[in-house]
This record gives sequence, structure tokens and C-alpha cells, in this order.
Amino acid sequence: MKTWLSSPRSPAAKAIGTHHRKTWAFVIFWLACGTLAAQGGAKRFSLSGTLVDGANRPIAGAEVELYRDSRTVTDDPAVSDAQGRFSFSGLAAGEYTLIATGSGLGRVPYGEMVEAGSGRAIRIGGEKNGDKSVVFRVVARASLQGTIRDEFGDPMVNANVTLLRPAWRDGRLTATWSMKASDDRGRYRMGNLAPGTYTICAGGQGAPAPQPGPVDYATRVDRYYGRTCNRGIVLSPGQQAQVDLSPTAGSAVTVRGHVGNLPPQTPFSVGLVPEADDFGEPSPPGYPDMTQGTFTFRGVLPGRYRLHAQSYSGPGKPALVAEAPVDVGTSDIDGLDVELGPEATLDVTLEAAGKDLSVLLQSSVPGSHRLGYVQSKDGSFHFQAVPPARYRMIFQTPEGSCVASVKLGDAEMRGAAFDVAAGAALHFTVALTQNCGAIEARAMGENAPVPGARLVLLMNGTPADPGEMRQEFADDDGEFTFAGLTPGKYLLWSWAVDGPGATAGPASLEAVAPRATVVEVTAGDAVKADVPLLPAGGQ
Amino acid sequence: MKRLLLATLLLAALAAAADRELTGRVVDANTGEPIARAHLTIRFFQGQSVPEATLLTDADGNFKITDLPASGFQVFCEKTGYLAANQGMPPASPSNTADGRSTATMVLKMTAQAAIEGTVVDDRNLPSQGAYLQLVRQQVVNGRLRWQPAQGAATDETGYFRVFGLPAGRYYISVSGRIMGGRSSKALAYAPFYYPSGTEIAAAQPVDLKAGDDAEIKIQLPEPVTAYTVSGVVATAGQNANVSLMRQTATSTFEQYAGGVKWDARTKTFQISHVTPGTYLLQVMVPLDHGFTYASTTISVGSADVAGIRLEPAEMKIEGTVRLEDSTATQRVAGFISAQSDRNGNGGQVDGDGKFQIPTMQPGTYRIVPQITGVQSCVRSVLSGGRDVRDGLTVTPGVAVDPLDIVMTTHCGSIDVSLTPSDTPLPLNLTAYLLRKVGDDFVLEKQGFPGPRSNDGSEHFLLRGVAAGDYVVYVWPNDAQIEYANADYMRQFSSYGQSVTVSDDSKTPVTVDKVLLPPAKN
Repeated sequence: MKTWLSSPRSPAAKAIGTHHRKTWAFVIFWLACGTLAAQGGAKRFSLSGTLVDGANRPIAGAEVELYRDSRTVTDDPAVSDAQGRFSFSGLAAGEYTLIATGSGLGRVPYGEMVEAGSGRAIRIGGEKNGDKSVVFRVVARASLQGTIRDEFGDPMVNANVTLLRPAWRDGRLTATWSMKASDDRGRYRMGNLAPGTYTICAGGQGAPAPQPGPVDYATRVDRYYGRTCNRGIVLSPGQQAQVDLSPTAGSAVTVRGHVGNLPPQTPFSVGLVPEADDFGEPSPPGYPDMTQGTFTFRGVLPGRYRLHAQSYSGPGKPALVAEAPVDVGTSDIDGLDVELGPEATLDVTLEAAGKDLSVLLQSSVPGSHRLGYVQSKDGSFHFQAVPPARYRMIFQTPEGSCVASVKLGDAEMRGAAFDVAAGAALHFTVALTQNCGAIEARAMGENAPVPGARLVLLMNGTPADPGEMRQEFADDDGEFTFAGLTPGKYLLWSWAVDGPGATAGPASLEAVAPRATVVEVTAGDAVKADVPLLPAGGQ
Repeated sequence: MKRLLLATLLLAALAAAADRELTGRVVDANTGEPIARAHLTIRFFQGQSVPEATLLTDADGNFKITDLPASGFQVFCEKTGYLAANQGMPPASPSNTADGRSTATMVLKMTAQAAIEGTVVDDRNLPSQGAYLQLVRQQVVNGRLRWQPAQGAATDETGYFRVFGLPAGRYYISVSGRIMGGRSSKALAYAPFYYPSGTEIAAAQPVDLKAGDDAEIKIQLPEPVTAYTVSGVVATAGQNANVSLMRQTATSTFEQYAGGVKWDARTKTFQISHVTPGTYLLQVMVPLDHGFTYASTTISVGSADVAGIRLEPAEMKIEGTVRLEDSTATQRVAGFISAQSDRNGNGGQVDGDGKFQIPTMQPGTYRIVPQITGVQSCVRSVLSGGRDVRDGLTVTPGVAVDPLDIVMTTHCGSIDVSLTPSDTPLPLNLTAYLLRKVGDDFVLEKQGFPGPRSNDGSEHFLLRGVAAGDYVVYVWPNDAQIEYANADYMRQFSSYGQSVTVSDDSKTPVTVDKVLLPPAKN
């Protein structure tokens, strides 16, 4: 089973629910601890709690692990007693996470978020947090199973079964997914699921759907299995739901074309990438037949795609690239010709080299390229074979620093989108500064902070054309500190997570632009900001 | 000009597309009953492209496809509950029928699959998630009986697993449990074992499966044992290194992966946790632009962490030249040189000057197999440092291999193998095997598939490109498990083989009286 897709952060950190980019909060926190220590030894605290199920009944005999910074704190996990109680003592001040494990429970973090496996941190010690007592509610896992059958009612072996769960990412409502293949009896099982709303889909594995009866080879029509989905399946705690699916075989088309300007005897690749790839619809076609600069994709289902072609001239030599949108309807496409052009390159130089900076080049084309982080120790970054498109650069800065400026020639480009044309060679210069600010954001319900609420900070761009954004969950106190911010104006939103397992979020930031909380960040102290929750449903 | 050429090719293709049809039937190999809605894929081999057509059999197991191209094709057949089957068909001959039509008929026999399913519970009798079950069986590889991994499966959160698509046979199950929950952070691990218990396969209980069997077993993991950490450094400038630890068992070459590996690119150090006591092969591969460097060492984990290991990866490659015997300087040789061991295989293209390089070798003993294109040739000698290494070139980390000097000759012989007609039906997939004696053992020199039958009904197999030497010829079904490399094993079948001596430019007829069928096993 593939893992849930995640935003680019450490899976280990995510698995136990520690937050990303909270360095600034830690700095303040450890300053406080240092003061305490100087006054006569570090004070120790305790964390106790009660493990209960969804109906508030105690859960006995389950193991409760305590983590700090992705590591277990104690040698042995606590085991809940008959009343579901557990406790840890002698703990240094800090942020901790809890994970409960037991037969039938799965592995559940305290304050479970909508993103599977992630939980909320618990602060112990400090000025306002002494010993802590929590109610650790563990909701029983659900499962989804069934049989995939073809149009004749026969079990489909090795069918693609995809489980989708609504999630809010990169400024829009999308989905996380996991995938399995059906067994020899057409059966599948998705287990250990947090209660919530799911979509389950089944499709072929790119293999053509066979035709009954005699077939004329010359006039045959390819039929491929499209994806059939059952949407809006609401799983309650502990439910073992049965959903059978039968993918329909639909006519598929053939896409043929030619890659022009290909040097003789040069290997090349061609890919057809569905634009709406978040939901995997339409399915990407299989590998094409490629001969002498021509390519043939068979079994392409209708939908919008992007064709990407690239030649390989050898290591260290420039590649030739081409990219084109392809609308596939119900007829074959012949003569889809693309002309290879020189690759675009993009260089970034960091002033005051030696800083531990990462650069992400993110395309604005849906379903297209996110060229990934490039890390550098010497302050120079090189992206090669950049397909022509509109991009933004996203920086992951070292602790305590933020981006002061991004220059392209004399033009200031910090946070701006830019177009990369074929053959372009762009050179950016980045300067960092220590004069950064922070926002201590608190998700506010009608009367109180809301633990676990989603907090979204738009770093650059506009709600209509959003650029980089940070999206986090509020901690046990409903707070999250966004650190390492360049002074300037920022927009913030927050919304409640609609119960365990389900996400509610706005369809886009543009839809909720008038409800944004505007925060002016200055260098130095953190700005406190109460961010009112969006109304139910996030709209 | 290009369009004209395209049009010419198109016309040629149309002309070749004779009105050819294929009819056939899919049946159960054991019962002979027709199989309805079997899924057929017909793949044609036309240059580099492999167009295909798919169809289903009808209620009587019959199928028909018309307007086929004249090229050769392969029919693949799948059906739930059966092992996949396939059968090839050579290109149609132009004079099959008077009206130019050609009709091919085939019967595809499908064998029912076997499956094993069951549950795994841990030492506390709780469902064990993430346990991996690897089926192991004895199979003949390169003429020798070896333990080979077959299919495997991991348990789900209920401890359930299912392994399917298995041919009938005797299987052993290796079980690698995973500690879940609170104990996972401790230095504890389940030692891998063979079902139902024991670390050696000799003590394990086999699962014998017949076609159609659906066996069910229950497995309990033993108490976890104290596990240790293996750590060290890799002497490399590269950022990435693939470090792996594989358990070595005494009775087999089968390997079990162990431990989780952490690699620190900054310090070039590795740490493998949760390793249970045992003997392991520690390997590292460091990727290069082309290929990788490699190092390995055997370590023993007892009752303490193993630290301070230093691995120094080196590039291991085979290079050399290939030339034709008595050739002129202008006669160039094109082709591909492959190196094949029981576990690995790799190869390299011969360039215009007859030079070749096989860049990314792993340690082992390799057989060198030259495949020269454009001219019918056979091997005269493969020398390395003046020694003939054709059947055994050893590649060792840190030891450079002397360049190979491969000499090919065009003065090859050929062998026309005829199989004496028999009253009993012949098994499917018969193949002629040409064995050459090397020391006390045999190596497979060539194999040949049946050609057209002669008028007396005998099957013929033509073996071309045979170098001068002494050989033994056998005929057996190509799916039979014959330990041909083992001369002791083959002695019992000496009456099935025919000795033959091949000289330069000769054509030698050989008659094989009977098909070698493997002895039945319990």
C-alpha cells in the first residue's frame, strides 16, 4: 500500500504530529526554560491522561507512547489501566506527542488530525503550562473492502483500487490517496482507516479491456477500463464497510505524433501526463511505442493532458525539451508534432554563500512539474531541462533567517511568478536577512481558541493567484507560530476540521479573500494574531 | 522523399497483411473442460513496435481473430484462478492455402493456480501487521538445483495474507515479523524463521501444493529477541549510497533482508538497527553517472552492536576486445558481450573498434557469452591474462580483471537434431539442449526449438553456430527441472543423450531416441 501523500516535510515529524517551522516558538520557550534552570535546576513535570473511545468509555490495556522531537521519551510505553488512565512523570518542559496502540485500535496519535497519522502537540511546563492532564480520545479504525468485477461479472485480478480522502493543499481542495491492487479473487481491503468521508475508485492497470466474440484485427477498436468511483462514503468508527465496484470499459483513442528536431541516434522520452492528476482522472496512459522520433500512445481515455518530450544527449550535455497541452476527445489524434527546443536553465546564487538554503521551483501548470528542492551548501543552485511554463521559487531558509530579496538582473522578484521560455537562461540572486518576524497565530472560534484548526498563511501572490503558502494545524492551545517571515503584509485564514477524518476547506483562497485576516509583520517580536474561523464548510 | 518512403512502407505492410486468421480454444489442462471468458492478448512483433489485440473466449472456450498481420506473434492467456499461459506462432508462410488465405489453430491449456492464505499472530497472540511471508522453492537455475524466492505477501492490519498465482509444487515459507506498537522503539526484533519454526530450511515444514489447491495456514511469531545495531562508514565522495544487509543461511543461498538502514550523506555513515544475531552480507552500492561502485563484507552479529565497519567501494568492470579469427584489420565486429552468473547478468555493446566494457559488475563468477551480429560466428576462445575464462571469470571487489581477448570464428559447425517418432504423444515445449563438458560438469552451449516436422513425423531441431568440440545432445520440455550442469545427476540419464563431435564448417546429423522427462518427486 502506498503511503499518503504529504507536503514536503519530514515524514517522521509528520507521523507524530510535530509542527514544521516552529523554531521561533522554541527559541522563546527555551529562553524561558533557561531562566528556570538558572534559578535552581530544571523543573520537572508530569503528563497524565485517560484513554477513552468515541463514546467516552475507558480503553484498558492499550499502550501509550510518549514522543518528543520524533523520539520516544521513556523506555517503556505506559499501559492504560482499567479506567483507561496512564501517566508519565519527571518530564522536562517542552512539546510532546502521544501515540496509542492496541488491538483493533491501530496506531492513533493524540488529537488526531485529518491527515492520517498526524496529531497535536501537548505543551508541558513554561509560564502557563505546568503539569498536564488530557483526555486521549481514540476512535476505532474502520475498514473498506469489496470485490472488483468486470462488465461480465468476473473478478478482476490486479485492478487498481484507489482510496481518496479530501484534503486541502496548495490553496485548494484536493485529495490524499492510497492505492492497492485487487487479489486473484478480485478482492481488496483498505484497513486501519480513521472515520470520515472517502471516495473509492477502481480501474484497470492500463491493460486493455478484452472484447467478446470474434475480433477483426484491422478494424478493432481499443477499449480500456476507465475509473469507476463510489464517492462520499462516510465511515463511522469501527465500521467495516463493503463496497463492490465494476469499472466500465470505454473506447479509448490512439495519440500518434512526432518529435521534431531530434538529433540522429539520440534517445528520447515522451510522456502524457493527465492535468487533473490529484484525483488520478483520467488515468495516465501506459508507455508509448517509440521509434525514430515517432510515438504512439494507445488506450488514451478522454481528458486534458500535457505532452512532455525530452532528448538525452549524455551526462553533462544539454537536453532538448518540448511541452504541449493535448485535449483528448473521442477520436484518434494523428500528427501531434512537437518540436524540441533548447532546454531552459535556471541558476540561483545566494549572497553570503555557505548558508543552508533549499530552493523549490514550482510550476503553476496544474498536473505539471514541481521540480523539487535543490539543496546546496555552497550557495549556488542549478535547475536544468526546465520545461517552458510559469514558475515561482519557494525558499526554505536556515533557522533565524528569511529572504530579503530575489533579484533577476535589477528587478526585484521576491514572491513573484515568472515565465520561463524555451532556451532561456535565467540567473537569480538571493539575499537573506536575520531581520525576520513571526506571527503567533491563534485560531479563534466564537469564544475560545480551537485546537487542531487549520491555519493557512499566504506568503506571496494574491488569493486569486496564490504563491507560496504555509498550512498548519493549530496545537492543543489552538495556536501555531509562523516563524522566519520577511517583514511585510500577510494574509491568514483558519477553519475548523469537520470532525475526525473529514476536511472542510474553501474551494479556493479567492473564494474567501474578503474573510482574510491581514497581519503586518515587522522584524523582531512575534505579532499576535487571532484568526477567526471561517464558517462551517469553510466557505 | 520521406513521405515517399513512408508510402512505400505502408504499401509493403498492406501487402504483407494477408487474410490470415487465428482460431483456437482455451481448455483446463487437467480436465480438458473449456474455459469461458479467458482473456487473450495477441502481441505481434514488428520491428521495435509490439502492437496487440485483446479478446475473450466464448462460452465454449473458443476464440477467433481475423485480418491478422503476417508477422509472428505470441498469444498470452489469463483467467482468474489459473496460471497465465502463452504460446507462440511463427510468421505465416505465403502458400498456406491456394487462395492465399492462411488459418492457424491453437489449443491453449491452462493449469489451475495454487494459493496459500492465512493469518499471522505475534508472540502475544495479537494480529501481526506488516509481517512479510516469502515463499521459497527449489528450482533449477543454470542447470543446478537452487533455493529460489517465489511470490511473497505482507500481512494487513488483521494479520491476514494471501499468496496466489503459484504453480503446483513444494514450498517453504520464510517469515519476517515486524514489531508494532510501543515495543517498536526498543532494541527488539523478530528473528526471521521458516514456517513453522527454525532458522534453517532443513528443519522447516514444506507446504505441498497441487494445482487448484487453496491452502490455509496459521503462523505465530516467536518471542522477539534482543536486536543490535550495525554501523560504519563508506569511503565515498558520493551523496547517495545504497547500504543493505542480507542474512546468510547455511543451507541455502536464499537471503533475507534485515534491519532498517539510515544513511547520513554528510558524514557518509550508515546505521542499521534491529538486526538479530546471525551472519550477514553487508553490501554498499554507490551510484555513479554510469553504473555504480560496490563493496561488501560478511559480518557476524552476536550479542553486541557491531560498529566501526569501513566499506571502500570500488568500480568493478569487465572490458576487452572482440575480434574475428583471421580477420582483416578493416573487418569490424558488432554485437553484445554478456556476463552471466547464477544471480546476476550484465552486458556491454561492442564499439566500432571491437572494444567493449561491462561497467557495473557485482562480485561473482561469470560465464562470458558473446553475441555477434551480422555474421554467423562462434567462440574460439575467451582469454584473460592468458587464461581461458569463458566458463568462469571471477569478479572480486578491489581486484582488477585483466582485459578479455575474445576470438570468434566464422568456421562454425551446425547440428541437425532429429527426434525419433514415438507412439505416445510428445510433451509440449520440447527443446534440444547442447551440453559441453567442462571439468566434471556440463555447461549449456546452445538450445534449439523445433523446426518443421519431416515427412516421417520426426521433430527436428537445428543448432547453428556451434564451435568445434565435443558435446552431448538431449531433448526435454523447456519447463522441466533438469539439473543438466550436475554431471552426477545427469549420469542416470546417459541413455537419453547423444554424444556428438563438431568440427569446423561441419553439418552433423544426430538422432535422439527419447525425450528426457524429469523423475517424479514426492
